[in-house]
Amino acid sequence: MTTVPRLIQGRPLAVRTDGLIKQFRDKVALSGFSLTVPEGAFFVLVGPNGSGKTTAFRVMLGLCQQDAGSITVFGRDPDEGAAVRANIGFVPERHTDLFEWMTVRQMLDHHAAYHPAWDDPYAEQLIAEFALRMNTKIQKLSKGEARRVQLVMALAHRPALLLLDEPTDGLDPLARDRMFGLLADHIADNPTTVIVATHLVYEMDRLADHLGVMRDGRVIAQVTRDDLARHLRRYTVEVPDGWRSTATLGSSLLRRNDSQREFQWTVWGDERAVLRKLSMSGAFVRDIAPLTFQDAALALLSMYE
Amino acid sequence: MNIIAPEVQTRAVVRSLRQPRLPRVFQQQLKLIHQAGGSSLGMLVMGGAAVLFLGMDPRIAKLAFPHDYLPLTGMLLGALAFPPLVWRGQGPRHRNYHRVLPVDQLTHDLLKIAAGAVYLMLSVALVLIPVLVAALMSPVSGLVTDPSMLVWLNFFTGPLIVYLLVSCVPMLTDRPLEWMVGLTASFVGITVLADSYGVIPVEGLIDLVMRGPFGLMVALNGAYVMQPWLRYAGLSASGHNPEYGAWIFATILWLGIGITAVCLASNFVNSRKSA
Repeated sequence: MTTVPRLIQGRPLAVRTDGLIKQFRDKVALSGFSLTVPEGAFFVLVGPNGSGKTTAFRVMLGLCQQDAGSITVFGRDPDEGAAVRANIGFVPERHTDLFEWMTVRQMLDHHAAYHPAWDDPYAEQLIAEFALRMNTKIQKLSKGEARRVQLVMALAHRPALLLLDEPTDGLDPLARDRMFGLLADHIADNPTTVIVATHLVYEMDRLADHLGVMRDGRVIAQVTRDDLARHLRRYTVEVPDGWRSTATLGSSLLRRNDSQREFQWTVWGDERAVLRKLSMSGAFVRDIAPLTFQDAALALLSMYE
Repeated sequence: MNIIAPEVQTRAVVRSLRQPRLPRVFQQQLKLIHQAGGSSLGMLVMGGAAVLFLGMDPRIAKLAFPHDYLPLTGMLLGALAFPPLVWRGQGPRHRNYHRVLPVDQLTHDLLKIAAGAVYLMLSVALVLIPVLVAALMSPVSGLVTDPSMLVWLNFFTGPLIVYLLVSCVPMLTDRPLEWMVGLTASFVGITVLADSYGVIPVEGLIDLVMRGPFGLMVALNGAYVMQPWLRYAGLSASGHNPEYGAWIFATILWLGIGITAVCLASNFVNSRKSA
């Protein structure tokens, strides 16, 4: 029986981290964080609050230096600083770090001045799509409006890597829809690797092609969408009275939802092999269903619970 | 999965690698301070402080200029206002945006401080010009004394030293005003206690740092050394002969200390890299 992969191999990598450790006083933020993000991937990183997603982003940006382990972003050490950051568009989790006394126009002009690759017509297009009020002071913006300003700032210089930390936080449903449309267009028109940290996995369904799952400062699974479709299934199983054994599935059993004699098991592995094992143990498989992206993330998240 | 042609991928990476030129960053920092109201507020504070200290001199009508000590005191205090204005809204916990921009972090911090220094120097000049004009136009003769360049220079270097030293505070804390008041109160308290209880090593250290041959006071107003005391002794300002050599050395020393302190503060914040 195969186990859930922890590394993606065989493709040029935009981001590669190996055993990153980062501790803040008594809190361990990253504890052996190993991630491989292929170039051109739309990588969704999920994990509970405090699992280390934001710290991982900060290490990638060179804003936070790891205590141990190694990291490269497009083959460079983020400690090189400016040269690495020039290639990254970043939407931070917080929206309060913008200059509150500036108008939206001033903020975008300021940001553009730091990015020679800033594309004015594209920025204007994004501004129009997001319906930004250019003469409004940043301090007067709602959370959602500030988030839209941050998205324009991240996208308009067409970076090779986009790091989006809860990008839809504060956006209303219409703005979310617009954002995903723009993001889809952006990816189609620009060679971009995207890493999104989010709790709202279902929102990323239409764009994501990779899923990484974090827990306690490390990546416990990272898989391609194809692998998820190929290997992850929910099996609805009926078992005879007194049937107990699930040991044969080993670590492939990710999640179980048991009620009397009907069990639902989420299992990682080759479907035929799983079926064989279940029927050999006396269980009757009543239904096999693929998982939605959201359910897959939940199943992987509960792997070690 | 995004399928990307390798040649397109390479082009995009090279394009994004372009970083802003440093003059452009400096220009942006000038603009930023201006937009934050730092330049105008700073000038206002500087002018106000200088006028306040001019007004405190009962002999205002017969002010010897530029030798008179009081306008400089006002400017030195006015310079205290600049660092919090330059770093407005960008305390260590709110500096993520500043730090995420594609510029080396130490260079970026130094360019910001340099931009603030430009406004400081401009403010000093704007305060000096009307005072000088007033002194020149005064019916009282001999108000403008000793046109030595070094004396004029002290009006700029003194506030600059104050500005550099105090810049560390807003770089290191989100509450610069509270810290400035606290540090000043602590310093005064320690000085008074050391003096009252005769703690010789502390007294000696404070004396060396503040009033030593190349101490901070010499750097701040060396071109006017002892001038208030001379006045109390009944001597005229124009008759005073300051130790320019000591002042020049102290100025270079304290400017160096200020720049080093600012670099250390920048490195500390950027290497601490807290969550």
